[in-house]
Amino acid sequence: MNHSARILKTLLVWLLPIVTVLPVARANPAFSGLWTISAAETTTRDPEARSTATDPWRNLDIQIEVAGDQVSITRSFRGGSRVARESMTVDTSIPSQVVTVEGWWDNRHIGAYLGDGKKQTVAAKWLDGGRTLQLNIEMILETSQAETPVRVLREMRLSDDGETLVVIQLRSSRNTPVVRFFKKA
Amino acid sequence: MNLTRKILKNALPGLALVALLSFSQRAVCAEKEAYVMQMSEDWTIEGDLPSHALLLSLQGLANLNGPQLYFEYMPSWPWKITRPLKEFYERRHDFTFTPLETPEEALALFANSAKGYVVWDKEVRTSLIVAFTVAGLEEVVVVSEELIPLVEEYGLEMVVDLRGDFTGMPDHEIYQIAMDRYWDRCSRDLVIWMGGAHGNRMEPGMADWGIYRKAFFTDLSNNPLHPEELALTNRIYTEQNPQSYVMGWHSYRKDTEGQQVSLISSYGLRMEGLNTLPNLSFNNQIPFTDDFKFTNNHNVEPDEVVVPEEKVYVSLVQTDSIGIGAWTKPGRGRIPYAWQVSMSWVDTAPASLQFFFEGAMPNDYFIGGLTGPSYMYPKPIPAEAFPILMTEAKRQMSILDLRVMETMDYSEGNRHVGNTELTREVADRYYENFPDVIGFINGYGSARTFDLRDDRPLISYDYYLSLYRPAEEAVADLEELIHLNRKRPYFMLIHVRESKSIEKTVGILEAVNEPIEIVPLDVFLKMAANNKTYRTRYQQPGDPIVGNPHPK
Repeated sequence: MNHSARILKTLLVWLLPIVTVLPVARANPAFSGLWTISAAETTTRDPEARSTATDPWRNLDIQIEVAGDQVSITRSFRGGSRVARESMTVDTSIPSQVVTVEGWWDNRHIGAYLGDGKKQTVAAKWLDGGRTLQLNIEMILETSQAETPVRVLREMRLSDDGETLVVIQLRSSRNTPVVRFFKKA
Repeated sequence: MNLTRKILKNALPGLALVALLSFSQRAVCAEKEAYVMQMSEDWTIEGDLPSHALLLSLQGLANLNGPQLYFEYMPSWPWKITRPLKEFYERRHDFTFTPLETPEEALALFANSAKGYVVWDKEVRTSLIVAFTVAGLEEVVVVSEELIPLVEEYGLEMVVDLRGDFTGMPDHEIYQIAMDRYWDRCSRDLVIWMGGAHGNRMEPGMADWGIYRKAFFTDLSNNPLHPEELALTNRIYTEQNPQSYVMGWHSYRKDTEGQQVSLISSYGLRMEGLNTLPNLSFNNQIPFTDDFKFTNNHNVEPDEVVVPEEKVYVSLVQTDSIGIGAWTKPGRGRIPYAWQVSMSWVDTAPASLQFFFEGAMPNDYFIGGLTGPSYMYPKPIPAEAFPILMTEAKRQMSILDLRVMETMDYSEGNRHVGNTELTREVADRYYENFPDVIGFINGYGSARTFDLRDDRPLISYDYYLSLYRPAEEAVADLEELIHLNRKRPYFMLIHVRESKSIEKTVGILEAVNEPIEIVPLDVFLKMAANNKTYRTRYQQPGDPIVGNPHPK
């Protein structure tokens, strides 16, 4: 074995174990399941609650299913007998993907509606050792005047005990963040 | 044409109008002395509902002989105007109201207005609704068993006893019996939907009116999940006179507002709410004063051109009937506000409208709605019924000096889901049938219908200011809308939930971190006509449709 090959072999012997034990970003299994929030836990009526108001919706829930690199997320917005849903499946191993959802329900008070054939471009990745799922979303909102590109940064953070999911949203069109505390159902 | 015939020809329209109003009011001269009682806050079956029902039936009968008995309601009642309106009658109509404290005092004065009593069964809530029908037809007061000795003290005898007639029956069987017994004798111009609160509670504020007009009372379902009840509902709507009234409100337990108003509109009938609307048998008989003419606070001439600047213009509208909202709350007049008027009150409660118009501040502007001569949804209205309905709406708008018509359509959704849009075909009808309005507005929450034709815009709401929306979120909402709508001028039409106070609304608008200008609605529409920075849009084939399902 020549000198170069000997060095390479030595490096491989020392580096390979290190590489194999480096942490890989993957989900915490506690992410999967149904997460809920109700109007009683929001600022709609209780100023002491920590979540951003959910009105006009009375209940929100998020169903998350993790299967390897695939994450299915269904957000349900409920008001009485009326339910609006947004469903997507994202792959955290690729830079981004285009998904088609049912609509944009995050703020039904304002005259803004999901355009571009209800498509969203979503980049999804796990962070913080699998305790945070980050979605970077690009979409088009239609208003009375025009179609406007809007960026959404949505982070879903799992608490240490796995019982609380904090969802933080920054929307490029909105001056204030939306923060909600969901409980495991 | 000789002079006499010429005079008659010119006078006929006015005479017809006077005749119509007189007929609608059922009295020529208002009484100047009347009595007032205070209603309590307890409307439960085991609480004060029985005595309230007795008094409401007595009111409907007593007022057949002139406007004599008036009720004040507590601040928690949806209609906030009972005391201010009484004070208006004192001030402008020289009424003197003598307070009555107890049912005994009321019976002492008015028992002779009744021909007896009908007994309802406290074990069967629906029997009270049937009893109201009987009360009008037989001119009797309504009592539960424990009140029998009371009314007999004042010489009244039992005429109808409903106890035991409906035990264990579902509502569709009860109302079938009621229709078999009473329907043929009931008015075909008015039916009372005594819905709203359910279970142990009923709020029949409108009962006096239905008794006064000999209407059929019901709370039948408009929900397809209740086919037996719906069959009777459809029969009622079918057999009522064209363009007649359905007054009251749907039952919160059985169906939705959207289901009922959609169905009513499909028959070309007119909804006027709510079941809680009080004192109509009194208010109906108070005409306008001789010195009064409706004059709106117009800010522009009908053919005026107003050129907007490169700004964000905001205009605020409160609907949901003027009497249940922020009209009586502090702050009115601080900023321009448009108020949607219950136009049919020009016939049913004219002095109530005079009360609002005379109390208007310079910043108050009145508009017509919702959708037609009464509360209806545009899309279900049969095309053949549209012209005659809107002819009536135009008559009302002419009397009330209104130049803007508001539409609202919950037949295919609401502000949460579905759509609240107009089709181009429906908008065609409005533009054709309302040649004199300066513009139209649409929606309840935000909607997406916009157009501009012959200098008359059709603008939907871009924002719904909810009663419970925290102020900081509302501020962020408005800033977000401004961010999303970059062209200037931007015309932001805001619907303010009725009970949201103007002071809170002002506080929100002042906190918006972008320059905005609040303008009166007529100025807003004129500017929108001059510079169309909004895109024409009508309901599209891909717009979602959700048919207003009830929770159960």
